[in-house]
Amino acid sequence: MVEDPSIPSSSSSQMSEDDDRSPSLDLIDGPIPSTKSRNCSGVSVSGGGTSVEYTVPYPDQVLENVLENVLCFLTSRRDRSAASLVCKSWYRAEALTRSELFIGNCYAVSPRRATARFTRVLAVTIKGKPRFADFNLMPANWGAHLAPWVSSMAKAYPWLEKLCLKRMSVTDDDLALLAESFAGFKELVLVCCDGFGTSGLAVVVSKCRQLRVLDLTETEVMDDEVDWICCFPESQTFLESLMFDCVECHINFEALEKLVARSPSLKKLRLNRHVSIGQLYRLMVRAPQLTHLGTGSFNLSEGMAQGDQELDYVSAFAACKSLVCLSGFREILLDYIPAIFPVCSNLTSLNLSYANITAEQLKPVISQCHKLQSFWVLDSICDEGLKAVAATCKELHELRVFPVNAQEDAEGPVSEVGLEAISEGCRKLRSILYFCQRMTNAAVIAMSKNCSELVVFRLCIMGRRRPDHVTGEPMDEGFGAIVMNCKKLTRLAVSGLLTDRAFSYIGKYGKLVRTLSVAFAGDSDLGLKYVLEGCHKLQKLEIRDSPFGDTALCSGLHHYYNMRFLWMSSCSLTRQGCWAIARELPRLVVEVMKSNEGEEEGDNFDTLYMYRSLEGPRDDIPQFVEILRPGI
Amino acid sequence: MDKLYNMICENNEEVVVRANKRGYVAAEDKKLELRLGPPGGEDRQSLLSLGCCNNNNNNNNIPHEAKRVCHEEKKEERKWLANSSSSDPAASASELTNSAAAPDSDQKSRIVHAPVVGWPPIRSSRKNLAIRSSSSSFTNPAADSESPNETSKEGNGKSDSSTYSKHHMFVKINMEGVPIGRKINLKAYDSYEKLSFAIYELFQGLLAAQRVCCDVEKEDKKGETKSKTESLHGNGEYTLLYEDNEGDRMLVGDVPWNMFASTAKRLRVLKSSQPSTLQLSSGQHEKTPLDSTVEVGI
Repeated sequence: MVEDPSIPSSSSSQMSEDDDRSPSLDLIDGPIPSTKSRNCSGVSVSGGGTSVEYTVPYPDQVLENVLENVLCFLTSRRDRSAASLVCKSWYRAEALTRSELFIGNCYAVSPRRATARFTRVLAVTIKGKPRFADFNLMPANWGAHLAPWVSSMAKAYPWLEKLCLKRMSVTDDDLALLAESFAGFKELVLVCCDGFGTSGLAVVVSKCRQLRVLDLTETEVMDDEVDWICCFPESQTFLESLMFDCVECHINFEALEKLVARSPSLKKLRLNRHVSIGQLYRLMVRAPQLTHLGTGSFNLSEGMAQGDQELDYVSAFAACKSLVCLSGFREILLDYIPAIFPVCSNLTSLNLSYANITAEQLKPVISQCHKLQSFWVLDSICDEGLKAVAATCKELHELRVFPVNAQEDAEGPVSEVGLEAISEGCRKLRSILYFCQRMTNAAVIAMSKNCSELVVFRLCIMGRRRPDHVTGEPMDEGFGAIVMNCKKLTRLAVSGLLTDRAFSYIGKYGKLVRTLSVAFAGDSDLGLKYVLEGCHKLQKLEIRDSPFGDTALCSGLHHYYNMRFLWMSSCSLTRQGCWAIARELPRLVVEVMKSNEGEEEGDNFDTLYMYRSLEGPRDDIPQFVEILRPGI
Repeated sequence: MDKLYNMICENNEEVVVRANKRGYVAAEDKKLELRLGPPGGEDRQSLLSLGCCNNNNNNNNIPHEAKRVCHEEKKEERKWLANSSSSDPAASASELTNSAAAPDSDQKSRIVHAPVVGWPPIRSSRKNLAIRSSSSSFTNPAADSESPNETSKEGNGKSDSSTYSKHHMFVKINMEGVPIGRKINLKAYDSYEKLSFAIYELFQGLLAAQRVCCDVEKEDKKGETKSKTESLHGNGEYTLLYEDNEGDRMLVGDVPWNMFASTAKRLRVLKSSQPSTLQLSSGQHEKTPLDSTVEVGI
């Protein structure tokens, strides 16, 4: 499975779970199965962190040492979880040898419990808010605060090297504590986070002298008017990756240039849109060893006109012989497109999703990108541009087509024509995200047959409940074909006019589906029922504006403990229905929330968000969230 | 709105409806249909037939933004359908219908939809691309006639189409001498006194840690003093400034509260001994001076 950790967001190898084998339960609760080990006074230990003392004679000790040495090679979370369940001895050995901790839901387990079990962790990944929070479906201040995690880890993991966060609320104070607490800290990756500003960054870069990686992807950074670039140590740095393309603040370019000059290990650099092409040139000249480059604005700086400078951009790119991943182009000046020609044939990843270019402007570029595996683009290239992609990019694994005009009633430059062309030309496709205004079942069926390697299929027909625009039929058959024919499919997002039939297909054939995203779809409770009863591997289910009610919700009782979360907003649920779940499943945290604060109290709510947890109701809920707890 | 519910309940006793202003109609009877016209009774409806679809139980989505778009509708029609309805009744009759009516889906006279929260599911950083990313060239300037260097649209469009901005207006507040700023929600207060106290509380902890002398403790920012300005400045130790939407630095307290709350973009707390060095100028100059030096002589 190709991974490009440098493409932002979910395809990052750290964050994407579309191809991982994570077990459904990372941490177990309750007494550990005790062995009848010979001289061991097997004491059951809960996750509470009390240490177990017992004398172990030589043979057992050897066994344990061997085990620990072997377990070091186990990296998959699922394998580790399986190993930990064998017996107490294995449990302990696994806990001691786990160096990477993955917390898929920051509220499923407490920092205290996690750090008590895993005591030798070097790298931690934590995910917070559900994905729909990205689209304003959840008010701010919902939660997912990093603070309790960082303060626990500060005590438990003083040698922590790496922290990856997705959709967490991070404050400047958190970053300050992080910087203070981890002397050997090396990598900070923040994806879709918010809550901090440049002052927090400043503290991190100045105190974490071993910093190798600072990656900010789709993260909001407040402008505190602190020149964080200046705060890097004056001496040579260990920087290998610096990605700040999402940072909206101006940066001190002189300081950046000097930083790049004293960062010999720098391989990945993603600039924000305030860096002009002239400045880019200066940086590239200093860092021809780059493998990943985010070009910033790719335009002249404000106030400059062409002719003030005529730099040899082509040579600068040509000098970057190792460049494989190119992105940026935030305010692209078309005249400079030819500058990237020298690197096109080496590119495995190209992100033009901020560049509003036409098919004609794309063709000279894409026709050279024979090795391209990942391509993100705007629909401004139209179906014709997609045909050009299909003609050349035979190795394509991942395609994302974003809309220039993200409205329901816009003209749609891409359609089933483009999708079909891609399916014909890019047979190795594994992951697709496609925004369009119109689609046909035929094209989707064609893709299901041509691209049998699909793992991720996300089709967003932007007009709600739009049917096949040729036949007038619902899109049931298309999505049905996808789940039927794409045997490796683990992630699916549906759209368009869909009846319960579509969901019956998904339930029947989508046996590997782990993530399902539904919006404005279905007819009745049956739809959801099909999914909950059929998709045995379902872990993440997010639904909005669909007519699923309490009966459907109850049909998933057997499965909710296996899931990471269920999100349902603007559906047909009632409080009573949610209470029924809460009563049946005490280990589930059932949150109901209103999307508008200030509404009067009442029975109504907009959103149900529920997730399994070892900890019970969290204690940091904001005013608009209510947790349904069965009375004690 | 209440009339609607009364109507539903009265018309069909078998219907079990749990509905309220923003809730959901969980009716259990089939084929219950209601249609509502736009407010004011004008008949601007156009019926979209849904007969061609297999789906007889089309949902009508009422966006959460209903209240906001209440008066912005172009055409609307609403169908209430039992056992599948997930409508939000609060959205009066301003609703949009789903344009999924099969035979009409390609009609040129499209129904114009009011925006729905979070749909299509695009992160805010990718919105506004039609403006910002207008690619241009020297020979063919951007058709949109927006300069590619247009910076008026900020990337943090999270508040653009959100109702949360009704209740939230977070502005940054920095205190001189404190490297890490805070955020404060102006809409949580309705007077300078309250704001002043809130700011005091916000920085109190930091001040306690930082200060050498106890002077600050004597400050009573609860506004016992005579004038608003004085109360803000307590016993004169600190000056509260703000930057407005034009980038000008102003003294807090000079304008009526509402005007302040709607124009203030950030706040700054300075030691009062500094007024003479204040630059009551555009905020641009306050930034780290990179814009002025960059690009010269490239």
